Amino acid sequence: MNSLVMISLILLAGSSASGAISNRISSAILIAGSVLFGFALFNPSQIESYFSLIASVVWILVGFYSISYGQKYGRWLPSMLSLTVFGMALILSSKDLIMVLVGWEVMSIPSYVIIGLYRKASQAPFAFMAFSEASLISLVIGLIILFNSTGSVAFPLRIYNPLVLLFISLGAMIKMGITPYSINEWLPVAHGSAPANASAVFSSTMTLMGVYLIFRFVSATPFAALFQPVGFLILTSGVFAALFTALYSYTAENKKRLAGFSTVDNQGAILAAFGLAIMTPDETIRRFAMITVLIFTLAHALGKTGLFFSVGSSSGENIYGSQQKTDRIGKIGSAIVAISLSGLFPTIGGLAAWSLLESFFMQAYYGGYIGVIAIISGSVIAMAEGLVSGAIAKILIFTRIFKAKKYAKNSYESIVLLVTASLLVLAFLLSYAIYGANYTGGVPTTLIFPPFDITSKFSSGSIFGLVSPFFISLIILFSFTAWWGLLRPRGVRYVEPWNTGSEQHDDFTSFGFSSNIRIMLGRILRTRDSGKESLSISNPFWTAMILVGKYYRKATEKISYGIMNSSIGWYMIYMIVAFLAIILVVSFL
Amino acid sequence: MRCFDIGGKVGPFLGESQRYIIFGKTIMPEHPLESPVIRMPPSKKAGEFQLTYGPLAGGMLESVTLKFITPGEIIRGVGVEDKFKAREIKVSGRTIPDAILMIERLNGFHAASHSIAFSMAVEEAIGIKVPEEILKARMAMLELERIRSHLHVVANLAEADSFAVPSKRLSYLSEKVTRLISRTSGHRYFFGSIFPGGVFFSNRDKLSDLSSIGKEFNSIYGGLLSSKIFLSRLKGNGILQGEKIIGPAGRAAGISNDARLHSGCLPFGKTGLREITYADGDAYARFRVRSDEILESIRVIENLDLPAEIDGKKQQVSFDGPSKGAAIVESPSGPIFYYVEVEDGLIHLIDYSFPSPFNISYFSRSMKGKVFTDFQFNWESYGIWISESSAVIS
Repeated sequence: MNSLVMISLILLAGSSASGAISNRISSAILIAGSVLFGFALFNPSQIESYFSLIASVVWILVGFYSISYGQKYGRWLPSMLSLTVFGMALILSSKDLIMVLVGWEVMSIPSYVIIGLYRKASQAPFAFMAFSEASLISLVIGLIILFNSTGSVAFPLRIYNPLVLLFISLGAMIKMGITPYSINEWLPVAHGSAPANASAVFSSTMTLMGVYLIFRFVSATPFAALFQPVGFLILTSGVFAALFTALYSYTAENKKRLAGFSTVDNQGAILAAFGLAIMTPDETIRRFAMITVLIFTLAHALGKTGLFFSVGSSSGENIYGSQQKTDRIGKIGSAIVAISLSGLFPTIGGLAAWSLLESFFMQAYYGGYIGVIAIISGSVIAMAEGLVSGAIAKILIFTRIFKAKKYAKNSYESIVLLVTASLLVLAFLLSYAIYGANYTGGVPTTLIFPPFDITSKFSSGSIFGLVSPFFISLIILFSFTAWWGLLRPRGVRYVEPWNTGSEQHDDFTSFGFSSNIRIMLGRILRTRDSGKESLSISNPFWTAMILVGKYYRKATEKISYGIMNSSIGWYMIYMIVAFLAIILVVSFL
Repeated sequence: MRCFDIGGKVGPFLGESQRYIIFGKTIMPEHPLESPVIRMPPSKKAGEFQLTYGPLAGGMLESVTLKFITPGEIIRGVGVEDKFKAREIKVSGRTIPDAILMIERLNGFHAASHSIAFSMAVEEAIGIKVPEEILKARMAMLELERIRSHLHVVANLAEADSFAVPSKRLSYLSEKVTRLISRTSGHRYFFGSIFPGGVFFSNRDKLSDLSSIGKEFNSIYGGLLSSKIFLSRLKGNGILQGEKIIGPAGRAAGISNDARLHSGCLPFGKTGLREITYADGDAYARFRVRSDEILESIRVIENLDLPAEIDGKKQQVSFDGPSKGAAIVESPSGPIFYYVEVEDGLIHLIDYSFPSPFNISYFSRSMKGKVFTDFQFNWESYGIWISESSAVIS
């Protein structure tokens, strides 16, 4: 570990300690530590180092946002938030998996405290901790198998056993809010319970840790048939999660839950790209899919940070019923964030969506069973992305853009939001640098000159598709400028909607915005009249998990109070059986 | 009473007035009735909003405001505000000729039904027994009105589906029937042709046109029944089931409730009238009931053996009856009931039951769970008249 990294870690730890004294001091140290951390670890030739860069940019933005926002939440929040960031920095800077696991716990425990302190629902901190520990157990199992098969847990890794990839991916997936073929709500519930700056860190960079871990393991996995079942599990889990969480995001009314579900949707899309990278025999597609993961992660991290900043500055928990004040730059920032999270140009989100779909449809071009899987997966993900676009449009339209009628003075938080949004556009313009020479070029006959375009291509070198961020940005800039100069409406007039002269002045609600899906997919979403809402939906996966949790707790209570209570004999038997079971499992692995 | 016995429940439910619950053969003195019209929509739940439609809006013939409560897409409840045509019609204290002028204008489109029911109630109150040929003429008038009204409803259903050609053809047929009414009664809406003790009615082979109208309608009806687009908008739309449903809405739900057959006020039983019923209770069943009734009404008129001409002025009126009377007729939208008390040649008290308030409540009930685009088909299928629902006779 070089000295700059060490200093940055000390600064991050110092930020946590100073949180008890002052939110502003803590935020300032957090910014300084993050700047140093990103600078110390980033190396353009090492693709993994981009994760450190993405994370540090998010932490810097969160630090600036917290200077103003964090004042409302007392002294525990900056301390715990910085400690969480410190844990993440440990993961990103570690040289072996032991340190990753240490960082994993350092990241999780203060997050649990934050969610517990500022919880909106009693189950939120417990759900977070339960899934965090499930994630840790899976990682530990993966680590044991890795050590047994290679005798080392240090980076760079060598993966020969598919079980290593399976358990490590499973542990990371759980942290990303995904359990295979089921939709659990711990991430939306937990992230929805935290203050906006903490939610931004959780949603952007805590999930990034999961992506980072899988990225490192997939990078170390050669193409082989024995890894394909794991790839299939990862791909289909991702597609399943993307589709269903997109539906739940589209129909959510709680602002942070909506953002939380859209986070899991993004993670599902990233996971699907990992699955494709493991399954595909084409090395060029594999590399393109891995770059897609990086681009998608960058777009998600910045976009979700902006979204939580935007949501955090709006009042009320739910979208409907909130009368929002906004300012002009907050409005612009929110609009750009919405464009990026909706997968539209000229933002990095648009490039991420393009890149992801290109990966799948290139693979589909080859045919075979992997081609069939790719075309189905690509189509489902496209559908999910469309739904998430609707969800993002809903939250920002009804809170920050159209429904917010009163203008306020530009706030400091809005400035941070606008900076975040600007980075989404800047990242789009500079994205060709991430793709590298292999995927950049130009077609001068179409006025797209190298090196500013990005091409998706096969191993043979033939181009499948291309996109030019520079060209797109120029077209949009010129057309927008022309419209602004010539056709823009002069002056804006607001009028109350005419409602047949009656006193009733109901507006169309955000709830109504989503009701088409609630009704059309009523059987899947289990739409019913709950008494409180005429079209409430339920998540059977989550309901089943809660039931299992309750029955498990009752069973353990019965055993501990009914059998083991004050009985040293039974307690000893329990300890011996547990010890033997662990030895057996470890020996087997 | 001639048409009803007091007390008991004999025959199907046919309506409620302020004083009576009305069955086919009996009327039961009961509680004063609140209007069945659901004017206020249900209170809003989280995320719901009110969509206000009307009072002047496309597709609606009369001024009425519909207040839909919706969480988006689906309608959870609807209130119908019909105050825009609210009128208080003062009949008590007026002479019978003055009163009939007001009654027949209460809902011009169903003037014959109102006038005949009112006239028969008055005839009983003042002790007039009208000859059979007048009863036959009144039955013919009722059926002509039914044909025109049902044609109007079916045309509106076709128009709601943007089926311009059948809609205009049906409107053309409706106009032909209206001109037939004008030639036989002297007025396009029977005004002045029906009164206690008599009618003005001139047959003289003018009703022979009905046969060709029936054939043309049958061809349009067949065309509509073969259109999947049209049927898909009606089938399953606005399902209404229950026991106490009056008029065509009830017959569409499988209830035998036709006042022409279940009440003894007019001798429809002798005409071989066949009651039309369907079981599904949706807008499609109501469309079928009305369409079949058009053809059945034509058949009834053709079998009536009508007199060539009746000059109502020759009928005499006497004032020595029991002073109170009640009568009911099956109007195109459902039963119309009048109860009157007459003193010294003046209307002393009047009580009534009209079908439109019931049909509005049926509409509100059957809109629950439907989407906005269902509403116009559902609304039209009930043949609602706001002029009838919002009038108060005192």
